[in-house]
Amino acid sequence: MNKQLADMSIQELAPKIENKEISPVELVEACLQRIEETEGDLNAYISILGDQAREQARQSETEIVNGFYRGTLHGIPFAAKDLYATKGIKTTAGSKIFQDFVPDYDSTTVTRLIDAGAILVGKNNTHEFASGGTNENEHFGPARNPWNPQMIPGGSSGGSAAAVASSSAVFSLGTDTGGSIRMPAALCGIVGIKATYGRVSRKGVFPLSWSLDHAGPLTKSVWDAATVLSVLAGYDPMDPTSSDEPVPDYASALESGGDRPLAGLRIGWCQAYYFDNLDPEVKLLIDQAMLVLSDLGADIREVKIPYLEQMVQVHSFISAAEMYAIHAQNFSTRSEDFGSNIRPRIETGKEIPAGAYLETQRLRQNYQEVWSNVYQEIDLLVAPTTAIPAFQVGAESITLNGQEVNPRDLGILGRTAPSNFNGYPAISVPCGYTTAGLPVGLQIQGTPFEESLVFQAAYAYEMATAWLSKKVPLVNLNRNERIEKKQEVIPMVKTEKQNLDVLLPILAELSKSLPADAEPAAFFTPKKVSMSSKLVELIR
Amino acid sequence: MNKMDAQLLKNITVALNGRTLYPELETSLSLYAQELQIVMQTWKGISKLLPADLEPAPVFASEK
Amino acid sequence: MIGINQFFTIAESAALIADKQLSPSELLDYFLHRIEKFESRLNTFITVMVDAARQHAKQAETEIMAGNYKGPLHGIPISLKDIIAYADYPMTNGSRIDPEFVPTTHATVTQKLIDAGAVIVGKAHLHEFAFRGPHPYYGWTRNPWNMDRVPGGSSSGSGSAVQAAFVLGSIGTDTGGSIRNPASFCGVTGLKPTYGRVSRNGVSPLSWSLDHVGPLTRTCEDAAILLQAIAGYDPKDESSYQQSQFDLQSFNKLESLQGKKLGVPSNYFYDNLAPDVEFAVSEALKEMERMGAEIIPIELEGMEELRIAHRIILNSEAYAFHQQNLEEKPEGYGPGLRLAFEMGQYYSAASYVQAQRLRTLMRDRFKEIFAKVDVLVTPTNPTVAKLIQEHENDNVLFSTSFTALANFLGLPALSIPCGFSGEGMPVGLQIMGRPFAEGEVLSIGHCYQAQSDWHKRLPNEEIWIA
Repeated sequence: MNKQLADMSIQELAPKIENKEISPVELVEACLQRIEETEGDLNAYISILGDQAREQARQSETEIVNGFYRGTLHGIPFAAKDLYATKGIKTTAGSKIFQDFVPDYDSTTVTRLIDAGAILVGKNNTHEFASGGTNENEHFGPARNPWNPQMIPGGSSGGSAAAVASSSAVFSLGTDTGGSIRMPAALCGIVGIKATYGRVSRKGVFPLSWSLDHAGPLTKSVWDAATVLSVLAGYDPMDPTSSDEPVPDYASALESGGDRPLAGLRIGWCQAYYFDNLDPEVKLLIDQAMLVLSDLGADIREVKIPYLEQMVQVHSFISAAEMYAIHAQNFSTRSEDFGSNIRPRIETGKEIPAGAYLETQRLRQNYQEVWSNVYQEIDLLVAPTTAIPAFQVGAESITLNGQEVNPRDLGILGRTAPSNFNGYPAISVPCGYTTAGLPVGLQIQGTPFEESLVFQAAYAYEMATAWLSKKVPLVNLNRNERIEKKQEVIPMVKTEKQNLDVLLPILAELSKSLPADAEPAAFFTPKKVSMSSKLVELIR
Repeated sequence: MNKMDAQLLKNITVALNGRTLYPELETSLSLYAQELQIVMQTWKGISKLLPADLEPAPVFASEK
Repeated sequence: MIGINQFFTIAESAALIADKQLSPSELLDYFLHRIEKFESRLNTFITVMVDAARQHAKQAETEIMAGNYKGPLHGIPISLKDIIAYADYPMTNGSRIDPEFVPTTHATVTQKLIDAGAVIVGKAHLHEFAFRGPHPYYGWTRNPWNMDRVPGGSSSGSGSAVQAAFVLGSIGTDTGGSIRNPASFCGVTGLKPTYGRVSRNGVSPLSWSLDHVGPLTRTCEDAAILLQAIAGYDPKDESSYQQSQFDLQSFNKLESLQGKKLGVPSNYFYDNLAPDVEFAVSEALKEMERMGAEIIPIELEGMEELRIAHRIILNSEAYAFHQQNLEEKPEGYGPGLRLAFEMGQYYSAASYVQAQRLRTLMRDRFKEIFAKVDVLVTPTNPTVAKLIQEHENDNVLFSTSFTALANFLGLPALSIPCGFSGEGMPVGLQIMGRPFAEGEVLSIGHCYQAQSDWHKRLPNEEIWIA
């Protein structure tokens, strides 16, 4: 009974909670039980907040029984990546440096969820300081994939994704600086969205790289993602990059809309970068997904986007430099307390010259023009979220298209970074499984502040495929007892320092295209792309 | 921290920019080194001043 | 015929022009005559646009005679620092990097001035790319008070030309003090507006996040008139502020400083001042106190860090912009500028980011300070204008700056004359206000100017003739 309860989505649970068919108390209990059953395998949490969650559940129950139903998220258990400040609750950022840090404030997003009645059950494991795509955390142990605990869940929001995929939380909060929401969502077979830069407040979320950081939800379905984003999004005076664009009710706009709900929608795909060097199984699944979109009425067309790969490479001039600025003080006095796989990243940041950083910010601003032009021909862009499925925790190398590669190297795993560089909204939805039973994600990128259209397409796709209801992660089966968390020592694979000798010439080449009046994008708001009136109709 | 000296700066120019400074500027390298030493020291001091959640100034959005 | 003289201000000229007692062509001829007579020594222009100016004056005259008076800049001769684009005329940036460059469109400020009916007389001399010093090819602009002394920079030709009465006003740029320094050294009024107030579109950047465009004039009233014309939102400038129109009503020509709280820093800005500067500024403060102002001592923290952070940002951004030319055709830069710009390659990205974070921190601190005071009053410079020789021998890349603070925080800052040194060189008083409080800053400056005559003193023209 409890198991079924925990496995439900917000969309299924909310009406039952409102009708008092389900009590938040039993729901929270179901999630806490699921944590006990799975945590030994998954290590998805750094802190589990059993007592606090039970107490809040009782309060919620009382409110609802007394007729004070706050809305869709009332009584829904959620988890937050341990980068989100939580008042009175240890917030480690997955690091040894902050292992005992207890903030005296909540991040804006956590406050919004709690005000909406959601119940925090735990703080998720994460790649240290959110700086990596595997969640191979040296201080708290790696988080693992519910579909196969030998495998990484993806990162950096790996614990958040594993928790939702294994139903120990109904939804979770992650952060995304280069793909850290979308990649683990894809590898764990759930939905994750990074909205437009400025759409969701980052106040109280430990920064990795201010000008690329995004906060957002990981959920079991598109409808759930739309619902949570409606609560998270909106202007926050405490976040200087926050946008005051009005926030629509994303979920209420979702409609299945007959046989061809995507009729008239132009969906683009780009071979360069996005479809380069894909795992053949991933490639096949994405091709199939595009056929489904086409069947749903979308006009699928190929587009060419210049310099994508180079932009992704120079991206690190921004992220590494800002990361170093954040950690400079601690790094100079206690570098040994930083994990061995993030130390090289910080070292990279130390060496980047200011000129290269600024030149990259200029390129970034200038590149908005390129994206804006691309979206004159299309309404949405689709791509694989990751080029490969989850790989083994600690694996030194994998074989990809006949070559031995370190899967942590730039360009191997994720196809997500361009949306951080341009600030456009992008979602990952499950689009099938490899023969080994590992999930694969389809990524859909829209234009600034048009999350609605992204949801619309993702929802239509999800309705048509229903991958979610087909399979349940293996880890959920046949478990009724508490599994002890293993204290394991895992071999940590070193990441390489980025090679400036390679990157600087790429930057120099790109810079030649810059007009003299190009300015850096220190804190930019992505430029809205004008849309055809037909499209506007389609969204409304 | 390494003490900034003319040779180090010369190496940086070669390593980062793939060029040498023009001969007439090479004599100024020791001047640069002195300046840079002061800047770097102050910079370390600045780092200590900054709380973790402090963001860079919203340079291209004017203060309201 | 009205006796035009060097004391003339925009406000006075405008009143006569509006009354049709003075024709814009007559007014222009007066200034062109002075330029012809004195320019060769003072060297305040890179390009004098005689024909275009005459044509614009003529046009203004026709419009006014036809009853289409556009406002207080109609028919007023002004100059533009040669880093601001004026279509179809060369824009040298005071450099030999691309001296033949001819912009095809006006900068937004240029267009706004033309729309207001101003007569643009020429492109003012400047420090090369608004930094360091003049390119040897163009030589020094001279200080009208003493031909052996620097005019202050980088808007050197603007400050000197206003003092020499070659124009009634000039538009300069200010990244670390480049409007206020020449205003202070030449004894005129200079205003650096709030960041985001005046569009930078069509103005060559020195440092994107520190650059400001603003007026140099004889009086605060004239600065307000020019500011009203050039302020306003411009979608072509990313940093432009939506509500950036300047309402001339906010400049209310105070008659007393009753109730005004003047914050006077008790450290940094008053350390190691030249005695003459210290004397002039303290006299000015006493005068303002007599006029009703309350002096509130303010302790400032972190000013040295701020100066270094300002330097990191300026040099890093300038290097990012100039990198390609420094590598490919460095011979176009003057040696002094090249020396300064090359320094930019040695700063790390992290130090740049850290400097931008310090801005956030200091912005919050100054919010608290401006809750206690209306404006901050300081000397504009620790000394009066130095000898050109002395300046050229000075090997220090960066010196102490009292002006960088306002660029770092984007605050409006004014420099007005407040006395003279023993050698007869002007001393400048700096008044800094809250963001977008130009009206208040200029009103306080106006009140002081109504009670003093420092800004009306004129140099001896004879020294300008060789």
